[in-house]
Formats: sequence, structure tokens, C-alpha cells
Amino acid sequence: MSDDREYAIINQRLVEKGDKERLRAILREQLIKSGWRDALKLECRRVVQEQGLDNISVDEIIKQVTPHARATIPSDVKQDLLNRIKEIVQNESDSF
Amino acid sequence: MVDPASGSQQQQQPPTLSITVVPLNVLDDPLGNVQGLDGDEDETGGGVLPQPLSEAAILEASQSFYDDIVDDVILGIVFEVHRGAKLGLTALLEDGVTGDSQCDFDADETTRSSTGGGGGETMDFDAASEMLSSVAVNSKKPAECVCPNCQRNMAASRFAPHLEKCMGMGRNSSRLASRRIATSASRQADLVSDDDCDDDDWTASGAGDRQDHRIMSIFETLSSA
Repeated sequence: MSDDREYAIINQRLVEKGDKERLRAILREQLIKSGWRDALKLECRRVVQEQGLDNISVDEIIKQVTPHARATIPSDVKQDLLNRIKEIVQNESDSF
Repeated sequence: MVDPASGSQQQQQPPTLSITVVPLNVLDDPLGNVQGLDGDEDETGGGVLPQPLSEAAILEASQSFYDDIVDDVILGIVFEVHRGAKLGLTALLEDGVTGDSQCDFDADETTRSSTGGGGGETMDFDAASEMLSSVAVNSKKPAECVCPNCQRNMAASRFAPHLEKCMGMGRNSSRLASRRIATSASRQADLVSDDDCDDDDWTASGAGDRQDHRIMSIFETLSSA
């Protein structure tokens, strides 16, 4: 319960300091390099074709694609990002 | 328990404007009293000094941030594909191509990812084949050209012959060219005599004559304007 509030505070700090944006940029670059992004694009197009162009919505694509997309992120990329985040969160938490 | 609660409420109420500053100052030293207020102050936020997180909570928070960021990236890609599909950009490029060979409308990104040289060798190959197929599609699709002279639309393969005639620079200047010159001549009486040489084959001297006429007419229109 109180963790939620601490989480919100840290989240706000990460956004304000631009850490989140920076991490996002890093992740995006690594995922492009690994080919994950292209694979996900193909997957998205497959979903669009399956559902038909008129019936598809962004929400629907996300619902269908997200589990697979999360699962296929290369483990080294994931670990790297998690370590970075953990370090930042640790620092923020210590500064309380 | 009653005392500190009412005490801090009294302190809390007057400075409604400076919500963030005052509670922190108030709550800095009497940390023990603050715990009793937890229930009351939770909604307002900032009432309780945040505690350093435990190891498990840090892991949990990191995982949650990670999910946030990943979802953001996924959302970005989904937006891109969705937009491409709805605007018909994807369909336009995939026109005439069947099956799994897909085209990327964002050629720049495809190039970047194919030259990225990361671990995924198969994906690099996919990206390269995508580029190839998109080139093939582009060449298969008849490109339309607009004649700068008469603003007509035509297939690219017909463009050069048309231009030759339309501009009147071919071996035999065509009806189109003579008509065009005739209309411009009707606008400018000076060019009436030009009709004679319109029907002639294109020659160097003819070209010189005509250009002289044109230049003269341009000068005249300029000076009359």
C-alpha cells in the first residue's frame, strides 16, 4: 500500500529527470539491432491482415501482440535494462 | 494518538497553498507521530515521508518500470503499423505482392536495422529481402509523370516520346507542338509568321530562327507590360 506511493514518487522522478526517456531510447536501439522490432512489425501486420483492415484497432493489435512481443525480447537486452533500472531505483530509494 | 493527529491537522489546515513544502517541514522530525496519520493522509499524498524500499520492493518496482518502458516501445511500433495500414501506405507498397513478402514504407529504418549488424542474422536477411521486394514492386508499378508543358498525366514509358512531341523538339515537330505554338501565336500577333517554319523539320537554323522569334516576343511582351 505504501509501496504504491513510493513507486509513484520514483516514477515521477524518473520522468522528470528524463531517465525514463533515456532508458526507452536505449531499449529501442537495442531491440532494433536485435531484429526484434522488425519481427514485431511483421507480427502486427499479420494481425492486421487476419482481422481485416476495417475491424482492427490499436487496442486490438496491442492485445494480440503484447504477450508474444514481451516474451521474445532477447534476455541479454532485458537483463541489461533491468540492471540499469534497478540501479536508478536503488539510488532514488536511498535518497528518501 | 489523538493529540498529534489534531495537532498536525491544525498545522495542516492554514497553508493550503503550499501543499508540498509545508508537510515535509512539519513531518521531518516527529516521524513517530506521522505513522498514526497514515490512513488520513494517504489520499493527499506527500503527507508521509517516503521510506526506503526493501530489496524485494525495488525488484518489483524495477520490473514494473521495465514493463512500462517495453509497453511504450510496443505501443510505438503498433501505432506505426496501424497508421500505415489505415492510411493505405502498407497496402500501396504491398500491391501485387502476395504472401509473406512485405514491404516497409520506412526505408530509412529498414536500412538502419539491416545494417545494424546485431545478433539476429535471420532478421537482417528478412529486412534485406523486404527492401529488395519493395524495389521490385516500385519498378512494377507504372509511375505516372506529369508533363511540365501541357500538365497531362502519362505513364513514365510514354513520357519521353510525349515530351519530344509536346516540346516540339523531335525529328518532326508534331501537331501538338504546332498547335501549341499556334495558340501562343494567336495571343501574340508577332508570331503569326512563325507558322511557316512550324511545319518544317527540326534543323539547327530553324531552331535559331524560332528562338530568335521567341526571344523577340518575350522582349516585346516585357516592354509592353
